[in-house]
Amino acid sequence: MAEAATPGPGGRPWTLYRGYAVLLLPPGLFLAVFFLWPLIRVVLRSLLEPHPGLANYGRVFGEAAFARALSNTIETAGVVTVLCLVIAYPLAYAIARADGRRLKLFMIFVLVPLWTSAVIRSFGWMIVFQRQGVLNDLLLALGITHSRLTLLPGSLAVHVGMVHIMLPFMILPLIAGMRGIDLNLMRAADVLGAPPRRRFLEIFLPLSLPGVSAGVALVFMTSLGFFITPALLGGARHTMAAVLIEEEANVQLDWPLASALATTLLIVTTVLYLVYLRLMRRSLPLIGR
Amino acid sequence: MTGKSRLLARAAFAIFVALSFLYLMLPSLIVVPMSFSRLAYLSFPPTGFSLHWYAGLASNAAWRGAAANSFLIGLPAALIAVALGTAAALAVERGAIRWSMLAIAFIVAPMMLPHVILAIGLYPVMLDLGLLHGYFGAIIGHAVIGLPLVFVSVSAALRNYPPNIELAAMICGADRLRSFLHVTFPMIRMGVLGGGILAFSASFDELMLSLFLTNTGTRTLPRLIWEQLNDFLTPTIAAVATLIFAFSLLLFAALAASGRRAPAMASSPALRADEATAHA
Amino acid sequence: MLDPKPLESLADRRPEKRAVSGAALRLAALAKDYGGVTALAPTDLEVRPGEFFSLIGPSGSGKSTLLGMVAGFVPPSAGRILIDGADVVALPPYRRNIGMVFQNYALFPHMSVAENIAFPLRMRKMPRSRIEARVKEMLETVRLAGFAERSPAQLSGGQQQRVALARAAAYDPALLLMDEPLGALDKNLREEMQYEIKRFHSKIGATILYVTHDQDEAATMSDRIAILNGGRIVQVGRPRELYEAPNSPFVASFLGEANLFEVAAVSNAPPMRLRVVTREGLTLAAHQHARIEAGVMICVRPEAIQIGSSGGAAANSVEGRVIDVVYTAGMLRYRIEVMGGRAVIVRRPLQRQVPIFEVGSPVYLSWDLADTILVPNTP
Repeated sequence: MAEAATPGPGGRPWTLYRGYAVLLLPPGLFLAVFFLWPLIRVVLRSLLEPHPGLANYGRVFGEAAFARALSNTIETAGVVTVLCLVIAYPLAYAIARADGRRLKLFMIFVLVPLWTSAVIRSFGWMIVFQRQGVLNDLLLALGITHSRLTLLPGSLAVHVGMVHIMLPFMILPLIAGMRGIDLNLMRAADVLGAPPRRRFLEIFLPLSLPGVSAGVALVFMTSLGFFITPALLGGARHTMAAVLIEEEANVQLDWPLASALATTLLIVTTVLYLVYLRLMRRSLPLIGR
Repeated sequence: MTGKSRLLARAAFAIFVALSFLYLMLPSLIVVPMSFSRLAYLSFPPTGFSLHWYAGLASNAAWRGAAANSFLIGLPAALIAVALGTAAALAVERGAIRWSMLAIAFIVAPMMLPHVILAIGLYPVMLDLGLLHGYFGAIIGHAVIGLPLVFVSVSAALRNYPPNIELAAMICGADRLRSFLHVTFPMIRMGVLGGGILAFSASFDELMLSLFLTNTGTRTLPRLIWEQLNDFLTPTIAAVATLIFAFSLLLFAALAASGRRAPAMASSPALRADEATAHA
Repeated sequence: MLDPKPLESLADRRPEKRAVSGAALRLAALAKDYGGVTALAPTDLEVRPGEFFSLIGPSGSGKSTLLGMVAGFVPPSAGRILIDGADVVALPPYRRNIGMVFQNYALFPHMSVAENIAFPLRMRKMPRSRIEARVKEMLETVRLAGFAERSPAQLSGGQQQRVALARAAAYDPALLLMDEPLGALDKNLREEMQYEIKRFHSKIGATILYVTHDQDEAATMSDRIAILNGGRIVQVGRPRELYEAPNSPFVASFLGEANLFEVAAVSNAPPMRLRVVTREGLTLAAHQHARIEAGVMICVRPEAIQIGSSGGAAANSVEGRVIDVVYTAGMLRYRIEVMGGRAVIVRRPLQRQVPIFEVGSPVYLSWDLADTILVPNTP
């Protein structure tokens, strides 16, 4: 005990969790300079250039082309979210009930696309949807159409491509939610005489809803910011906000307008992000790209 | 339900599941065979077999340069993300940080925000700092994207084992540094590695920041593919895509292995699913 | 259930040789609250060198908070913690030189058994050769000599617990903390480990502060026990004292089974006796007691009560009827309805010559003067 020689009474209690805040300094500083500050500059630029005021926002919401692109963005995100949910729910149900090797295989089917770069996946869809592409070949061969359709660029391709990218982001929270459901509850319902349909509607479905809301929020939020898919597959026919922003900045060189568009997107995304965090409560946010 | 209609329903469900998985795999299934096509235009199914396009790639300085840039930017970006993301995860998970939900929301935000907003914001910042179009600018930008991925991965690792193991180390006489080195780090190292792989792969795929922050000298693979795609479609792109696809699968396998090597402590199904999503 | 037998604590068998002399631990007005919620009200406590001292109480009673503060994991809101006279409140756990055994062992899963035990020695910069010798010695002490290279995951719960003991004691700490160390073990193993820990205690001689919610375990192992409830220590004493002279109804019913009666009237009944009328209307006799004015309750232990078919000459005799009787290991447990519809628990050893009363039979309950225990009626 000699080494524990005495700090007298009144010494501040040693505290286990004190001192860790210092570790927050480097990442906090880094993100403040290279994340928060850039966002602030975007907002400031949208308000101050070329003249202080809301002129840029007047254009964003006043000019038909921009307003159409914004509403198209929200509409597309909505449609993609619904389609994802419709496909993902039964799929997640199948995966959540699988185990062993089958579960592994199913998870590979879900995760491999996630690991394929978005540019490459859009390239794949271009091959499918182009005039001389696979889909047109198929439609002709089956006699459904009699001439080649121009599907690219077009809304169909954008939706197919976006759903493809977002599907795993819907499936994964659903699986997480479904696997958390105590199967004994289903067995109990069984024993108590509930037919399968009621068992599903009254027990499984309500219990899976937290996963659904997390997935919906995540997919909708991420869909709003899509760039690669609409740019490559939608072209001028199906413009979305991010495509417009990139074009205004890089091609039109109208940075104040691009900033106003970006700020609008930023506000909408931030609100959705807060909703999403609320839904996720204490558990960690899921990862999107 | 009669036996027959139940069987039918089951068959329909199985077909639905199979078709969905086919849909998920379709782009890869199409792109890979294309790269071995003998013809110069993209028709499916491809005609003949040739490694011609791969040979063309190897001799093309632009593709080689872009590939090198992807690593020159991705690896340092991942390293920075690992250092900062791990520090942040430790602070949030082990320190009683006031407003910790706010801190988490802020740290994770770069992952959730459309990259285009960050890109047009970083452009003038990098311009002011004289880092525009150079490697450093792109590395920093990509590190911002990678940091949250490391943060989430390491946080999950830190939650995955009982914290009293660290308390045990301290009561055994290890100060903070030594209990981190001897106990905490060995426990989370697979989470750190996994986060690093995620951060690297995020950088490796990133297009938007590269569009704004690099130039023809420092452009990455996704940017070069992008430029080519807007131009005209050739099997060369399919060959590049196939190589990148193979490399991504390698990273994925490495990540899965790192997940498996993590100490198999009491991990609930929910946690495992969380981990799976963290690996997304 | 608490039998009188184990109350002759194992601790009474004093060992001859001890490796270290235990530390004296003193808490002075030690308190903890979490944002206005009191986890531990200001508490004073003295634990003597070499003592096996247990903290028991229901969950949320503050016992784990108290232990956490001694270890250094929980910063106190106020007060002092003195180990051999030195205040350690400002010291981090790694400089308090305390050993600790955790509920789920908290062995390092990436280290072998030997590495686990060597860890605190390495942290103390002990030379390698001495570490090796010490690890070997500790492994023998906990009877795990052949297990040095195993990983903790390959051991059974009881073996892991012994490794945790060896690790905690490897550096001869003068104070050992144990946080429900047997909580995760099943009943048989738990009893075996109780003896193991006692044996260990007598060998190493450190002061042990032991937290458990199991009163049997505490009674079996401890020199003294502190009972906590609602963030304060309600009574401290030797197991037998606590059992025979509880200072509150809570202690009376927490430690073993108790028949508690509310008292309606008390009067002196010479020679040196008290006459007590319970709320049900039973008239009981007790020894003259110093503190009778304050509200009191009567506690009669189920095993102090005799049961017979006629009233005897005992100081207390109550008429009743058997409501039910169950057989437990070696015991008969009766519920007897007495005056006012009140049920009284009676436990009798199951012996051949003891008659068994069927349900419904009229019986007489009787007990000695000394077995009518007066309990101050404090919450």
